[in-house]
Amino acid sequence: MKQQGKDAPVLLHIDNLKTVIKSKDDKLVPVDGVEIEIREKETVGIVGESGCGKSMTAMSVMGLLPGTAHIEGGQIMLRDTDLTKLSQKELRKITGDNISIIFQEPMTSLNPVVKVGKQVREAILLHEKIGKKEAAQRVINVFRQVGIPEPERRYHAYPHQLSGGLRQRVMIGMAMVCNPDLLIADEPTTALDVTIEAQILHLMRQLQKEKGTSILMITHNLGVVAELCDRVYVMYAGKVVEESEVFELFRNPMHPYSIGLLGALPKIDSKQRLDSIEGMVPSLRDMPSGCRFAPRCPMASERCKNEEPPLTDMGDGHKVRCFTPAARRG
Amino acid sequence: MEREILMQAKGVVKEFKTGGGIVHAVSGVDLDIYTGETLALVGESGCGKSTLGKVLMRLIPSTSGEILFDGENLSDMSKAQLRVARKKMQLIFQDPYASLDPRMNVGKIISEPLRAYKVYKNKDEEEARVRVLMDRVGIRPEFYNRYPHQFSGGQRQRVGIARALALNPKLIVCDEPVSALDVSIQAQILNLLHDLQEEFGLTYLFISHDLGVVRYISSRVCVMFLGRICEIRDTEALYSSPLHPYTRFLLESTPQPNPERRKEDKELLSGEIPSPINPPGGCRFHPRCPYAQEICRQKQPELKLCDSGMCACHFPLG
Repeated sequence: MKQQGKDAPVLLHIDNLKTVIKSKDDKLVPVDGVEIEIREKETVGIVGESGCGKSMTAMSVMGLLPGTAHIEGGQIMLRDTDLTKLSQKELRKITGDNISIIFQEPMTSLNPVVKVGKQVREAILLHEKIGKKEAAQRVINVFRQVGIPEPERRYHAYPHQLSGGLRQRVMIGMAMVCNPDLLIADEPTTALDVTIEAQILHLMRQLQKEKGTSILMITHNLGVVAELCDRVYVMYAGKVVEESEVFELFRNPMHPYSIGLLGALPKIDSKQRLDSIEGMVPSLRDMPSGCRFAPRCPMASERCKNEEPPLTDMGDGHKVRCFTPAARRG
Repeated sequence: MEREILMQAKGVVKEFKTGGGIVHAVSGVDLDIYTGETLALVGESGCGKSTLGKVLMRLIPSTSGEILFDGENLSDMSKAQLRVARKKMQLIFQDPYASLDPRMNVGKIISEPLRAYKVYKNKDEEEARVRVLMDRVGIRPEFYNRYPHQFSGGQRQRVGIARALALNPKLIVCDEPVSALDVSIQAQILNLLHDLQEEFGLTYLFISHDLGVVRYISSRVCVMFLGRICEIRDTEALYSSPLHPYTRFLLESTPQPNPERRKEDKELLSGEIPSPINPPGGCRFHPRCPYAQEICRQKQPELKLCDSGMCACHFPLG
């Protein structure tokens, strides 16, 4: 599985992406030179805390940025097409055919006054030239695939008549119905109870295996990353600070922030005192010069405060943005 | 070792009447909270854990049952008596944005309980006490005059903790106190709660859905499903060998931050949480339980003594 991912062709390449939010007297940069690669059949995670720019990165890919934000630099290559160069209409066509997205709260992405079956059918009819009846049958099949019990009956349900778990299944069904190459999942299980979360993660893994869809998983939950992803990008304050294959990252975190995050996490199998990271994430209005993590970093030197470290390959594709990364264990 | 009981719930029931029928939020809970312990109340949404927390503090009245706190019966107290008893119990909320009055500065917020109970006659003494509290929870005392919106989520949660500490309570009910916080900040708050407990001999009732957090902070865990207790045992024992099938599925379902432990063929709990308006008869967990037998559909299992605690299941694991 892993080998296959490594050698597979690149599906999406986010290259030096810079997304800015402009107001009258302010320019904020929530995504600042982000570089991310997703290969065919690969599940890639972007993990980080609130405000690190992970969702803004996803929205930049989908062309779903809020009105005040826009892409100022960089490229987003979907195979040979630069998505940043497309008109809104062209982008909608290409993302609709190739990329789907699911969000944290399915209730806000579903239309409350339209039956869920019809909403999913619309998605098919928009992209394919088939009859309504045939499309409806496809919807029922997809509902069955994503584990919705009694799909014929649920076709006629309104969103509020479904539980959170079932609504998320409908969203995944809608996302998968046109067989996208890439599924972007923005905190898809954050609003769900843990037994339901496990069901949804299982479903995503299943679909990925059967259909070979690449997944970009945006999450704050390192547990979800560990369960599902092949590779991970750790983001902090608008930058990728570490990039690695998933087993390697959890075994050998190299960036002090990644190490801090893992140490701060309460674990189900240990009662050790938590390492907390002192201070808090810097404000977009007040980014520190040099390394953005320096003010909170126990390892920070004078150099870290003045100079920004580059993202450096430490071997085997494990990259870290730090002047004094932790040494590799074993 | 004989442990001292600080709070005791006997047959507590809480029902809400709604247009759609009666919601059976808490259905006959017996519970002891020991002095100095952290008892975690865990379960998924709608299991009644937050309602139980509120009922125990008598923030909402119970439908039936008795609650004893520090040797007194809360259930039949008058308003005036309750006011005195409440001094000894405090609450920390999940949302540090909604739980602080945006028009009060943090000095006012933290001193509000002191003023409500007229603890100090002298303004300076009161302010001095607030500054000590601020310092203790890690907010710089010179921020006395700042307003909540000038603080981050983690700092606001510290303000909420300082307010809860102001009256030197015996019991603090923490309702999902770190669920809204980022991991790095969550660790700061959990460590703070842990240290304060040691320093002031506090007892916590810690309501949470996060089993990692619960493992870290609690000494005993009470697992609830649909208004009833499934299992209540010492934390170590419960995590290493759960007895109730529901507990095992909760532990199994929690995503673990360790890819080496990744299990692609995890045993999953099927189905959804049944409605508390029309809870299933017998064991309430039986519609989702893979081990359910006829007796589980017929007869409600009672909480029985077992290794390191109690469990309510006709066929406990182990």
